[in-house]
Amino acid sequence: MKDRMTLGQYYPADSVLHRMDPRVKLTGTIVYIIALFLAKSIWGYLLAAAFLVTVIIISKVPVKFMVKGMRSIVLLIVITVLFNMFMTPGETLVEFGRVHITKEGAALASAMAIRLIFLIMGSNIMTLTTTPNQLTDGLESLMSPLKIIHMPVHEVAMMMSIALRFIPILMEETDKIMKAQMARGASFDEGNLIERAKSLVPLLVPLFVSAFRRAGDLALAMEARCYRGGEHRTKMKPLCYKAGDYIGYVVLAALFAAAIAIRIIL
Amino acid sequence: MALEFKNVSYIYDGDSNLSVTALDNINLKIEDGVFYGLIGHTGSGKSTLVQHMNGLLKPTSGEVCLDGVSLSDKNTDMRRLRSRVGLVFQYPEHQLFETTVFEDVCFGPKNMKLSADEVKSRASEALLQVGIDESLWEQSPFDLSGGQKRRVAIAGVLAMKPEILILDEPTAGLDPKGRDDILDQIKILHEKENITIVLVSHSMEDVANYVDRIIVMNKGKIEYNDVPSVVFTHIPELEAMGLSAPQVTYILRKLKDMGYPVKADITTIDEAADEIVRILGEK
Repeated sequence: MKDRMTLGQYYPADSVLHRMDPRVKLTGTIVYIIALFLAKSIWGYLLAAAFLVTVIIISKVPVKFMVKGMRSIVLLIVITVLFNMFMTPGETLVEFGRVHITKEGAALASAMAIRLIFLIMGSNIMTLTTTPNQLTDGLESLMSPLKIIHMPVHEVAMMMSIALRFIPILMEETDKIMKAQMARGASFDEGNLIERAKSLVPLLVPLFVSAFRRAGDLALAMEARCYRGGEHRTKMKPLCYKAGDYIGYVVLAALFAAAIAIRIIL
Repeated sequence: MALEFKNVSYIYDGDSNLSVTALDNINLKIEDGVFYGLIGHTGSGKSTLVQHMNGLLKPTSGEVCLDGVSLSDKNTDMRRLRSRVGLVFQYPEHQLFETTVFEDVCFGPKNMKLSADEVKSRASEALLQVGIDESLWEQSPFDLSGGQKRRVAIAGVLAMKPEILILDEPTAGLDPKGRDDILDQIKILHEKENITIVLVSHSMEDVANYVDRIIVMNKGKIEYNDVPSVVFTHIPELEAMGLSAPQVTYILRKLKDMGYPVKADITTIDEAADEIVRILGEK
């Protein structure tokens, strides 16, 4: 079960990207996604590909890890491709009985597949090189202007980091409860759809009970340490830009400009 | 029926560089009708070992056999196996999910596809065996006390009438009375129904008071498999593994070092009391 969870998992290494300020990486991911969606011609995709490959190389994360993370979205890509291929009207390319693959459909399908793969890979790079704590710190700092409109930025960031922290714990818990119920003769992989859905009850009820119990314990522990939310709260490791981070912003600005230029000119 | 481990090894995360050898070439035979104590330091491989006994984990190499048939065999009926080898996990009360205590205990026998009457009679029998009063049967399991919940969870496995009952730290987190109650009930079960018991624990007192044989695990290997009085003569080795002997064993050894003619291989308080009375009488 743990093997399937590379999506959103930190890979420890010492690279320029790992040391980079999370705010730069977050902004970078957004700029990269915009560039990807601006791409219309092959040049736009080449630009995104060049950026992605460079980032992967300097991240020092083995490509194996990224491919593993892709496994979970294979089905999504396949469905997207099939729908686009068969449902787009236009000039017929191949014909199987009543099903047509059109030229436009094939082009759209491949563009979609490339977009999805690039999108997931790009955001994977960010989560692979940034610890969940850095990520939420970065988000909190980037969203802090929203405080003006009374958005509880710190609370949202805290909730996110707690949620992220709980994922591995709940995975482990699921594994334990599944085994305990299997020891009582439960089986989670046989029967029709309704039987399978029913067989999840002995798993989900204890899982929810334990999630609530853990949440209660955590709330108590936070209260006991006098946690009062975001106001006047200082950080042990405040985020601080370094020279490399400014270079990062310059590179991102260049990427953004290039993406717009390619969209308009080519 | 006998459960046998033949050269069993188990490696977690086998293909990555983070791999951990949890079991290292284990050879072990669980004999009928014996009350075993399985002890070892945290991370010694106890939990991994017991999960091999009912096929929840499959060995990386070697085989586990029940009545001579390998559990890795594709034709092994896992449901039947798990009803014959009952495993009660650590903190079993966390697996309760039904609306009433009685229904929850019915879950195991229901999965065995028994008739409705048989399911009910087994559930009642199991609940009485663990000492849960009939007035509690229709309550929600979530309203019970910690010790009661644990006993209901144990009943959930007992209701399948296993021939081997494995309990992983059944007393963890209970108060002394709850602990003694549960262990006494397990002992009664063992004596009355002649069920083979494997009790995983790191409390030497518990183990010494109840079991026939002790299996000591350390770093994925079985270090000792013998009767308590023999195992607890290896005090220095046990201490090197982060374990210890029961307190009375230490007392009697000290008395012997001081020149009293006592036997030093005593492991329970009752035996120790008799021994001390004996030498007092001789004087």
